[in-house]
Amino acid sequence: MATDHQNPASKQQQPGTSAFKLVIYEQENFQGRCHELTGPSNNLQEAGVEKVGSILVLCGPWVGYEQASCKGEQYVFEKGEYPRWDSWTNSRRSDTIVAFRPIKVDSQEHKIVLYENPSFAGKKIEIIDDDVPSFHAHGYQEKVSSVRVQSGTWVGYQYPGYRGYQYLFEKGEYKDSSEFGAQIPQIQSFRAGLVGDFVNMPILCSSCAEKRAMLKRPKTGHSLCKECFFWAFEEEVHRTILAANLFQPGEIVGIAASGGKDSTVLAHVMKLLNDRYNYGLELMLLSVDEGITGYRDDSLETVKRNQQQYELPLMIVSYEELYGWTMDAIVKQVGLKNNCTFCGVFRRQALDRGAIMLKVDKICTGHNADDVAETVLMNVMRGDIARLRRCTAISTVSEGDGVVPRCKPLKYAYEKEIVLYAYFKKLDYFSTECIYSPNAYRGHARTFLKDLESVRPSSIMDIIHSGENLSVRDGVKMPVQGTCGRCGYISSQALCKACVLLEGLNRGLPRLGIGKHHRLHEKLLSQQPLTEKEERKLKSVDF
Amino acid sequence: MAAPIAIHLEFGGGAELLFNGVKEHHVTLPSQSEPWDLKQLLVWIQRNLLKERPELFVQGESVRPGILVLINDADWELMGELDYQLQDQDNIVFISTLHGG
Repeated sequence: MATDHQNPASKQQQPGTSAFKLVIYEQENFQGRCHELTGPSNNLQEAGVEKVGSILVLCGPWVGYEQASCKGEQYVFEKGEYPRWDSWTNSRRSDTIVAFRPIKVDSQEHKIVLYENPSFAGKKIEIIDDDVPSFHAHGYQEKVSSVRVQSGTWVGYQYPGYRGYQYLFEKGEYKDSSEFGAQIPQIQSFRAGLVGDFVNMPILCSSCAEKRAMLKRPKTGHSLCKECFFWAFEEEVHRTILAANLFQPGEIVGIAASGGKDSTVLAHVMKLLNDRYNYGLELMLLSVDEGITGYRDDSLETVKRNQQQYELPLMIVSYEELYGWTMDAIVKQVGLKNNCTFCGVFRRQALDRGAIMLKVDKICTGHNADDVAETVLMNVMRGDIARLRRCTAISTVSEGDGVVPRCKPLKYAYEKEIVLYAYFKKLDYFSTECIYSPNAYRGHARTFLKDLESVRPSSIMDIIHSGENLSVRDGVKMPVQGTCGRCGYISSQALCKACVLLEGLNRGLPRLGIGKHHRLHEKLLSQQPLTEKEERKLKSVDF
Repeated sequence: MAAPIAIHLEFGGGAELLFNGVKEHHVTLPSQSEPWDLKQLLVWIQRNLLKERPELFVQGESVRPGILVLINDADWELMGELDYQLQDQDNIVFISTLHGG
């Protein structure tokens, strides 16, 4: 992050210049001839506009006037569609708009003082940052004859509830009602702060309404400042943890830590919430070293720094010590086609083994909402009904000896928010793609999901919701969970996937664990030799 | 004519891999008749900085979905996205979220 740039908040007060855009249609519902405006027009008729039937504001705000040279009744337009005359006014005194000008909105603060009599005399009422639907309700029943706008841009209305004639007030002084274009000094409701659609305009935090908003939340659409975002993000994780009753006081919880963004944010937030809400948990970091030179060794350095930063104990289990194979060695033998299968299967077991060594009660992983939605899609596309049914569960129950229950406290956290949380908090995380090529199929699912999200951010939550509420009809055949005949780990076959993969590696038959060779399991278990034909099939790896 | 502007670009979260692994770039955008906006900046980046696999950075005239853009530390969704008009000394950050976590 560069430190030498100007303070963005002060700099961005300068609004953009050529952003305004309004389209006039001569008939209702955006029909007929149309005319585009990007700046003021004092006389639309001279510009060839016969009448104004409907208006589309692409970037505003704008004010329209009944008479040429910005005189007469006023109509204020913000970004949006105005298909008919009555969609922008209900005064109906006039049916012409002859002039238009864009409104410069240059302040985020809004303060205005209204006076009963001309020249700022008599009873007064001061309004700060608030819409006032009715002055009567505020105890002010007087006329409004003069106005002082200290900051912001305002619209006054003749009647309560923002009805009747409209009067635009920009920064400055209006000594009597004729100066703001009123024939009678009557204003009974007020709207504060027109919001500009200026491209370079800062937007205020919708939560504290004080600081500048720094991000738009994909889940809620809210614009928040950094502090309000941190709080909202952390509280949502806290509520997720409470609602699903993920932890009990006194438990030892292992945080699966890869050094990447998700697990770094998870470790940070778990530690923070454990302190803030006295969860009473003993937290530790648990990492797996797959033995990938130039990738995992670097990311483990990040985890080691996290260990110092968060003062949490760290346990690293390596493929090499657990299986006798590093991923580097596995890739040498199997090539770059099915290596991700080995890595995924081994990692799952490795985390369990590490967790048991550390005697943790639970493992939490950094899976975020995007990951869960992506997994739902992948299981649908692969027809994996058993996984589809359980992949949205926020926690797994213990499936047997040697399997530690897992949970996903970030299950409802969007990836965008995780990345921005890490970025704004300047958390130390590692981001490099695994050198052994990403899983191609997951990559397609991810790209598809990101495309969906860019059109409709709620897609991610909706896919999770669909996954959570799917039920599999009776009679669909499900694999029966048993235990591995060799290592005792859970398995729906005679041998668990890790043992089959390992056997394949050790015997130089890397395809053994790829594809379906279940009927060979009994043979392998009883150490019977494979036939020549079987061996040939398992060897022929075409990379 | 708009004067040339100096801006600071930063690529992170793995996006730097498409730029020879270089995270920070101080660049000067040449003078042109219209003010520079973010849409034009993306074209400029593609022509002048992007070293490989442009499809992993741009899609259509915008960034590829999954790449976050920050303008002076604020989410570009609050800043008009592609229509944002660049100013001298702006700091634009591109963070990929497409990399493993």
